[in-house]
Amino acid sequence: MSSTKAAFIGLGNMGYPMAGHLAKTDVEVTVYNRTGKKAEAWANEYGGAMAETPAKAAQGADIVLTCVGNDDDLRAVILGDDGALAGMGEGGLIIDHTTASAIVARELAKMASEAGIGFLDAPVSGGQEGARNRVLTVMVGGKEADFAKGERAMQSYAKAVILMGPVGSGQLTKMVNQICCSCAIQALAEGMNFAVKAGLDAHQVVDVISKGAAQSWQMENRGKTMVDGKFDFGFACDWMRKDLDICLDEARVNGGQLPLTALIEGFFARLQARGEGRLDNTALYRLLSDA
Amino acid sequence: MTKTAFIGLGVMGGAMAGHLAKAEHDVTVYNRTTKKAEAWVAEHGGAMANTPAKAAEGCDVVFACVGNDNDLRTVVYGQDGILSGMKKGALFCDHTTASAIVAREIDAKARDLGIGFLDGPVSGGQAGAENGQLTVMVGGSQKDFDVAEPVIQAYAKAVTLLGAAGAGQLTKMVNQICFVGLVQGLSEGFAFAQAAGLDAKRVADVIAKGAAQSWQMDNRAETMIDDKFDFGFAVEWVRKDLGIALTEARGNGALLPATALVDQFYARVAAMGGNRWDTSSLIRLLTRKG
Repeated sequence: MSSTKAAFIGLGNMGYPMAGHLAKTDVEVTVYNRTGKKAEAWANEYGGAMAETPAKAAQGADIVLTCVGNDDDLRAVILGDDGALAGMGEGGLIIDHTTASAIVARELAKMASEAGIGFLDAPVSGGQEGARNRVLTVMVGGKEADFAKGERAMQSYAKAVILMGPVGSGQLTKMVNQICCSCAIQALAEGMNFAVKAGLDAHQVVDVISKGAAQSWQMENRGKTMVDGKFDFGFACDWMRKDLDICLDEARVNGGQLPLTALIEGFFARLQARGEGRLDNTALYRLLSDA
Repeated sequence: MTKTAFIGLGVMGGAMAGHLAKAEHDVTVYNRTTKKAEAWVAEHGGAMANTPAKAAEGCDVVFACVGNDNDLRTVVYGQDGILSGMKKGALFCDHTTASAIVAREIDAKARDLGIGFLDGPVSGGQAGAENGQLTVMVGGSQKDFDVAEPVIQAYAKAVTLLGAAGAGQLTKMVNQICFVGLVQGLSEGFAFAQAAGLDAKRVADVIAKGAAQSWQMDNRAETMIDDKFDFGFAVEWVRKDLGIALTEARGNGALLPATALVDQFYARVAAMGGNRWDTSSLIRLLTRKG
């Protein structure tokens, strides 16, 4: 059996190392990136091939993986004459790692299926560090048969790859994740700011209360950086707002009520208006500490 | 062996006083409802008294764990109150979750009488009290802390001095602020998961491995999804705690937009008849029709 051929489209902070890990397996990887320089750097580092369009990268590929910015970016690399679908043959599989809407996942899955191509929506969590260290969690929506075909490739950069349900379920699961994350951050921000205003040693407070019912990953990993005013790292407010907008849109359709999430989405909008959209999403703290 | 008194034998206080007796301290108890005090003595030995003052007589350390600021003032002040029974040089340690204001007030009055004071609210709930695994957040002087700490160890896994009188209460407020926001996040997340047709328990398993993880997710997601709330930390108690935190924030200038919103949600849960439900019942506002 000849080795698997894959295309990886989108070499951002996440896609770049993910494609790299995939290339280190027996999979033959061709990359495409909107900015050619990054693709060149990647090809130099990992020794794979690069292509000028998503369609060319996808030619002859068994699996096309994508990891781009949002719904529109995703449509741009999948659809149209230069899009990945145009280059793929029947029996191929698209695995999309973008955090996007469930709507675009269902839409692309339908179009792919008409061309005899499978589709999995597979957003990840674990951030840039997780991508670098091969410990991402991949939340997958799609058909069993497609999942079975794509699982091994995803395992090259993940600690967990889980099929959550039909197409769109990966995105929906990621939405639950972002809802819980953003509320945890806001709660932590209010607690830490209260601690400072009350004259407490906030670092010591974190050490004490992170042993009990107030504990969260965010408290253990971001409580102290927040208080220290460190926000030049991590997951940007711009990205979190995009993700929450997707959640709020989806909730409008499925009837989910998100009162606190909606409030926090507005706080991210305020941070963007202050020109702070690139800061880590724990910058929610600044809206309280600056007040 | 230290001569102690324990005032307030609720689900928390009763268990904590029991650990003191087990650690072979001399314990005299007082409870507003005498029956509980009798039951406690029958189980643990020790003595009981008719008033907080009598229980406190001759003690080295007096503990209290009652409901709120007013209950606390009732057992501390007046002829029958703890302070009137205590000897000079003794120490009063209060485990009630109360305001920092009442802590500072009692601290000042105790000091006038030559009595030490520590505010030491706890976290860890009923299970923590029963297993002797509470976290105790203490405000007061180092000197008083050093006296009380080895005694408190009888029911705690961690005892930490966080600053002057009131600092224990303030730390507990930070704890409550952080935890209610987490619970609301979980409620929104899992009500959304159900509305989206996902297998919500599966979702909890997957996302609890990453940045969305919390003690609440690990310990309450499943019961929330199963609509089980007849256990745990009651809505009426968290409302009391949030009231204290919001009042304190009005004084120190901290903004609590999410906390204030969640407090209002708890008011609605209470209006639904949920005063005794576990705090995770917030999800019912999102999952119940009408």
